[in-house]
Amino acid sequence: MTMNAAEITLRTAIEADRETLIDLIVQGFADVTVNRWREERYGIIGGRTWDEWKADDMRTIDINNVVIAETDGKAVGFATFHVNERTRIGTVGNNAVLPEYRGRGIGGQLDARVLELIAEAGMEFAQVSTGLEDCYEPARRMYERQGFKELNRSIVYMMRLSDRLERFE
Amino acid sequence: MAKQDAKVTIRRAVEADRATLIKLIVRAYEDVRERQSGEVLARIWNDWKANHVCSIDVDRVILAELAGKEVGFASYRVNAATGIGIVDDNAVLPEYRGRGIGAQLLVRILQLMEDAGMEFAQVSTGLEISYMSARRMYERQGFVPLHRSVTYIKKLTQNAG
Repeated sequence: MTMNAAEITLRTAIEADRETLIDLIVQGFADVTVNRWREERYGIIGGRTWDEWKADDMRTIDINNVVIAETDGKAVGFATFHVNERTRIGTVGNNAVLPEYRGRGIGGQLDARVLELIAEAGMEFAQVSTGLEDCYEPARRMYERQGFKELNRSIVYMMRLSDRLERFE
Repeated sequence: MAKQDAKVTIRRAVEADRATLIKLIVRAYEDVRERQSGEVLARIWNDWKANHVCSIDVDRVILAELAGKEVGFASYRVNAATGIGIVDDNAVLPEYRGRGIGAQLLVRILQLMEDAGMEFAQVSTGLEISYMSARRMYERQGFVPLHRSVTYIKKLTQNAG
């Protein structure tokens, strides 16, 4: 938060950004994605590496729900969101800044813009999930600074089916 | 887990079970919902009921019956691309808990996943104290923690943007 963040430009993504965004999501999540931990524990899943699985998130998202952060004409971060007309709760989705551009408040600016877009879409609440592991501490602090309050905590378990301890007879 | 569970029958749900199943799901989750009061959770609950429960795919649901009465259910999904089966919503009516019915449902679900060609199983549950017995049940079957997460919520100001 100490470095200069003045030259950051935020804009809504367009279809032509998609390949850039796929590179950004893979680079931005390389040190923090569950897909990678799963692969480290169980090996390659379904014949595709973790980065290919993660890239799918960006291949399938509605491009209008993506904001890009640029500096000197280079895309260095992004944030995605979804809205739910029924609950009027908007969700902040995948978001990341390239490792070498972190600590300048770019993530905070992206998050603030996404919250504006969610509010403009008529949502009353914004929701976001992040990890409880140490590598997500900067993300948790960012959300708490933005005024987010904890709603609940959850755990994901996994197992190789051949390792299970009880069988159905 | 100590009480007798010999009379429990596990069977696959059929279309004719839909109304019973919806009532069962709503009742089995009611006490969880009551512990999590608040406007946001009420909305999420109502949305989940309307969107998810009422359109549930009965082919991916199994029921636990005790003396001809449905007392629990479990649902699952399979993903042929990843080979990962997901244990979805599952619950036992409050007055029938502690008899191992949930574990019997889970064991059957894992078998159905294996039969469907899955290599892995994955499940999510809460980290709060009310989910302790669910966590213990998963761990006893061999599930290993992969990731822990927190969900945050924020009320947006009316005039934002």
